[in-house]
Amino acid sequence: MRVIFVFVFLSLSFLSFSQDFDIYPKKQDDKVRMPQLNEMLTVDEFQLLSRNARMMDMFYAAAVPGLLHFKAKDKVTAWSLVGLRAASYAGLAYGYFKLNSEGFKIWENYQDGESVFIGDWTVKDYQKLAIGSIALMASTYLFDWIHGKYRLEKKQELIRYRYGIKLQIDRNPRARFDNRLIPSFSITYSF
Amino acid sequence: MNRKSISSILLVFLSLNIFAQFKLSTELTYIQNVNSQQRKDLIKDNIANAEKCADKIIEFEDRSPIASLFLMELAYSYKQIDEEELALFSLLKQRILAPNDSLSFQSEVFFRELCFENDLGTTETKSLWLVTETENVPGDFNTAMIYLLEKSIQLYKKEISDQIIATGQFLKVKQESIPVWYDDWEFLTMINIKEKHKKQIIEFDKKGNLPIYKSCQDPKLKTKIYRKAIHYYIKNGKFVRAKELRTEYRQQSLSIWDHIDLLFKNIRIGLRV
Repeated sequence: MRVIFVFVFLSLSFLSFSQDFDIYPKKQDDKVRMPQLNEMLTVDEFQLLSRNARMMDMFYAAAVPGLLHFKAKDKVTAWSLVGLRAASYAGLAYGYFKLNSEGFKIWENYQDGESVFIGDWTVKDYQKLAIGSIALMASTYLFDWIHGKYRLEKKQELIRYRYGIKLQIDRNPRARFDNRLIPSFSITYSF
Repeated sequence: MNRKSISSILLVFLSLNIFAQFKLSTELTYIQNVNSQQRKDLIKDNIANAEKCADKIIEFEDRSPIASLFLMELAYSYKQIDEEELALFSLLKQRILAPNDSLSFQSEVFFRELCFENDLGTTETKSLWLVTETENVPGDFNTAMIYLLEKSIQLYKKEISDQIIATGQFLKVKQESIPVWYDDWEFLTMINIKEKHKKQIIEFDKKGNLPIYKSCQDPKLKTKIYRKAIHYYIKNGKFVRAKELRTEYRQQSLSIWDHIDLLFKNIRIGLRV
């Protein structure tokens, strides 16, 4: 019984380490270790390469509109998402309070053709506004998550492609344009 | 020599290799690879790096065949991302700063195409091709840079202004004597004068060191320069300089609209000085 318990505990702990949550161990010197960077790498590229779209961001993105696009340094789209999310909050709040003041709910069912007038607007219009705002909220969230992740990964791919090929060419004289072969002697030292 | 010292020597070599900048030939091979793929995202991604290399070519006065080829490939890159003005500037850079007859033979059609896309006529294109031929380009690098500035300013394209200013900066760093017309052009660009007006104002055979707002002959353009210059100085918080120019501006023959504009400028200067 004890063996089974230990086995289950170990399996769970391994499983939990393989999750994309921030529970897998981080070494203390992660922030102290100096990366070896190429002289041409800009701070923007460095930031893009060191960022990831992770499960935690999925939750954060619900609270912070445009988070993934901010991470991917796509500021125009990110600020547009902030604006759309703010509009959706405003629409939902307005619709909700209008319906609430007249004693109605957002999800209440009505018979077809029935309309209850409140000023120039009907209850159905306020319901549409509130439901539309919820849909906008959800769509901005999904767009931010899916498109933001795509943008970040695409930018990372381009940077990795550029530096990867250049490093390869730089280390291999035969691949370079000035591939003049000069007799030479080399020593390899393995640490 | 013990193991420790061998390790440290190799480590130094290794770190030099890692931190070193890519060779120009590497950049050339990469830009050729990217251009042949005809992918705008890849080209746009590489432009900033390629521009740094082009700056290095100017900085180190590199006239090697690799530098020539690189500048031409950069022009091809710009062409593919629909930046015809910058493509022509890059090709001019190649023809004037790193001339190469073999490349010249290859790039004639491309050069003509770029000139037409930059609204140059057949005569202007032919003339620009001839004045940038190897035998007509100055041999001294700094003189060639001034020649490049002149030819590119004469295109009157706003899109290449930043690049021309950057090239001018290299000359200033070298403490090379800059022609008066370049200072005039830089000042007019700084205060945001339109290209069509620059064409009327700049004199390439100007004698003396009078500032452009004093030497300009056309009274209408002269007031425009004063107006824009005062606006520029106010906008950038240089109120004392704006006040100095305002005194001279008042002495010009001003229209009713200029007087109204001056009134607003007086209020803005008055609030700060």
